[in-house]
Amino acid sequence: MAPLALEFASYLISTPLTLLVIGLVFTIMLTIAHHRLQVEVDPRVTAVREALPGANCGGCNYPGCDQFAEAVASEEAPPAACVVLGEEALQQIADIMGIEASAEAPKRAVIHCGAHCDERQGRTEYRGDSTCLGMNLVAGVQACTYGCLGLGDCADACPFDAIEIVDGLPIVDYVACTGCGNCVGACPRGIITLKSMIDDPLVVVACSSRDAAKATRASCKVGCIACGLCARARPETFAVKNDLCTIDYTPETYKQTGDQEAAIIKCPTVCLRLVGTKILDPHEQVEEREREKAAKAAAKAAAKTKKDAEAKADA
Amino acid sequence: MSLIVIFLSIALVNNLVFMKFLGICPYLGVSKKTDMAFGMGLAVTFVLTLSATMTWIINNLVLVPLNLEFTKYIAFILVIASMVQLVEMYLRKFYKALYQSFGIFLPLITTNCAILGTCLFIDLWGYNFMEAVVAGFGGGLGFTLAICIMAGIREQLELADVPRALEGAGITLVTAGILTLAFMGFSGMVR
Repeated sequence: MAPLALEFASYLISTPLTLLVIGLVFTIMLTIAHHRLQVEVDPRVTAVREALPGANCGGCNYPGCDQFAEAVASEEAPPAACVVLGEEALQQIADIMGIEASAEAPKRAVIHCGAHCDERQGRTEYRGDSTCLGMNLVAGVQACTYGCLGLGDCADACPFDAIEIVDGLPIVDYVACTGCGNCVGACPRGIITLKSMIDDPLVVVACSSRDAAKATRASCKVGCIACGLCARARPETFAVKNDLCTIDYTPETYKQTGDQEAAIIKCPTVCLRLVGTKILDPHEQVEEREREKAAKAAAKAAAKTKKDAEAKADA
Repeated sequence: MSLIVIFLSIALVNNLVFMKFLGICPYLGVSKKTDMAFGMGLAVTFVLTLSATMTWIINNLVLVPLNLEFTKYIAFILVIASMVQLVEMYLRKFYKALYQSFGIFLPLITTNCAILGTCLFIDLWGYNFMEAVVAGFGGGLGFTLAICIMAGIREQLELADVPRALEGAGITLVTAGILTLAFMGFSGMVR
């Protein structure tokens, strides 16, 4: 019994000892290798990466924030290429890189459709895949072949939760929107564009219909009928091209949103709408216009009855 | 046994993937693109050659004289893990693009059974030092061959009209099975 116990005891000591020695040898080897093979990372890459938002939205056309940080550090891309950056962070990165931060108006998503479900004509029940992508493939779901379908592919694509679908129409929260452009690619009808916010609020065309006036009227209550009243009021900013109103956003001609007031109130279908950080729902402008119209009509009617009454009294 | 026979044996006849069914995870996991597969194969070859050499030395110069052969599993894993770490540092320093394209797979070589399996086979077959080095290198090349063939086929399969029920993992496993059958043709040529 004794020799067996002795042998067991010897194994008990020699086994951990041997493994420990082997482990130690490799530890030393790896430590040396670690120092010899250390990779020097540009400290600016780390610093820039930390200043970036880290949402990996891809708005800069790089796969993610890591790659963009490397591109910025190697002066391959300007820091402003990150559309999400706020002024403060942009300045921070500019300081890290020792360059001037360029102050350009930030881009924001604009929905070029302004019709709620009840304003779109000829809508049929659609029971397919509940995405705009799927709905867009089905003919005849809605009379307007240009306008919003309202199933919210853009809202799903938004990494910043800046789009909300209200009664079949996306509403952009311009405080949360960063202009990354994910919604632009998600919309199968291509009615979302990025516009430079040269003023806040900004006048936009809330329609994409390139149909002639009669066809647009038949398919939508608030579609652009290319009447050209806006272009007549302010020809330097507005123009009608392909049966659709267009706005020239060049800062020299556009100047301030307030200047466009004359044209905006002329629009009979309320296609010219204001969007911006202070406007929660641009569609309210339609309701407001309707209220104004109703008030005007009421006033006119009241004046008429008064006139009639006076005429009667005279007679 | 001559070194060439050992090399051919482990690379083709006793191919790790096709005959021993070792290293199946990277074989199925990293075989979507040929260039990635080739990189993975080279990394395995490199680690396997180093590990086979190191484990032979540790086994025959330390464990056998001390009568501690029963600890070889732990000792071998220790060696392999260290070798993978070394390769990772080396790649990060000198081949950054390859290092980035490997991503998570490089650390996973640590747990690649093809490597531990080969090291244990070398001990089982009683190879001498040179034979062990050649077997490690040959095993790695055999793995590279297998994973590259698989990746080539899978790249073609992307465009093929595969029945819906078999798409993805299903057709990959069917392909792997047929490939193994093809390599069965070598069986018995060398022990």
